[in-house]
Amino acid sequence: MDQDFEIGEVVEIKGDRAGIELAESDNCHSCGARMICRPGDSGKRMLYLKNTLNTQIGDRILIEQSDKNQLKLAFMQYGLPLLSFLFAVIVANYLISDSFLGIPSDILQFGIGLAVLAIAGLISRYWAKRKAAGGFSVFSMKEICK
Amino acid sequence: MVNIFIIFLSAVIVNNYVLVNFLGICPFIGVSKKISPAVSMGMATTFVMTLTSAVSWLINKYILEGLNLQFLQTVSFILVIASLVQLVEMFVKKISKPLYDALGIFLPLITTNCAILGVALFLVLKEYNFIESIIFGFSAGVGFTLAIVIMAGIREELELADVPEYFKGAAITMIVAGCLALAFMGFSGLI
Repeated sequence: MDQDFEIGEVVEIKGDRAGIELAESDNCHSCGARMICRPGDSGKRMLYLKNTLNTQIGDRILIEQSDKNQLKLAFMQYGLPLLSFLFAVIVANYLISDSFLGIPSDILQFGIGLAVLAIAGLISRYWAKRKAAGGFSVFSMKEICK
Repeated sequence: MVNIFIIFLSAVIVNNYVLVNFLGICPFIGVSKKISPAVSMGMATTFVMTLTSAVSWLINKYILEGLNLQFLQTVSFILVIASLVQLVEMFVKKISKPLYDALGIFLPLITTNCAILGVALFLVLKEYNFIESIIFGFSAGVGFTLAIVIMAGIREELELADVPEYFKGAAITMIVAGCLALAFMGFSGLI
């Protein structure tokens, strides 16, 4: 199954985008992270989607979630930076064995890993911006619920 | 190199954090209904686990051991995990809103994942060096991902199975988790 669905309510319209408040799932009631999930606000998730169904405030919307796009995003957000960090630290470990200018080798290796992680983060950002410009999204409006 | 391979194999299969040490059960049950969110959660957890193990090791070696403050290990590591998760969340929210909308929900769940604190505490107990600690954190994350994805695969199949009425929901999930734990315990003694 490549799709998943959630129901939300339109609470805000901003130009061609609609702010949708997602209904709390049953799992949230017993979740240990509920208190910190959205500190300072209602505790509900908000999504801003392109208003393809011309919805109005108060409409209940069926939202489609693409699994394939979610996996792509997860890899670009976490997978790529993580692998880059690991690769950089392992290579640095082979190349740097002694302290340099009084800085211990472990800290130098970690610093190099962080630098490469930052570069991977920038690549991820560039990729996300390019994809967003092309209309790539994990969520999309499916239909207005009666 | 052999040592690193043994650490990897041990953390992924033999001492799997979820199915052998029973840490991180909350996200294991909560986010294992479908494979796609399970993989995303696994990746996010692996990311945080790896970074946490690196930062925790450095803090333990250069601050806690240096100042003889080892009794503050647990508090310091909790602080490291919470700060790291908040930093990642802020970073993701800032650089890409669509990414945050899709995957931001997993980050708060990671803060309360005791498997991450377990990794930070275990790597100090096992007296790993810096690179071993990072590999250990990464492997523990891969083990967590493996467990949660296997569970999600089985739960997706269960949706189609003819489960007796009284076993539906939490009951069959616990039974499946128990069977998986038994299966993974079969690997004990491998290393």
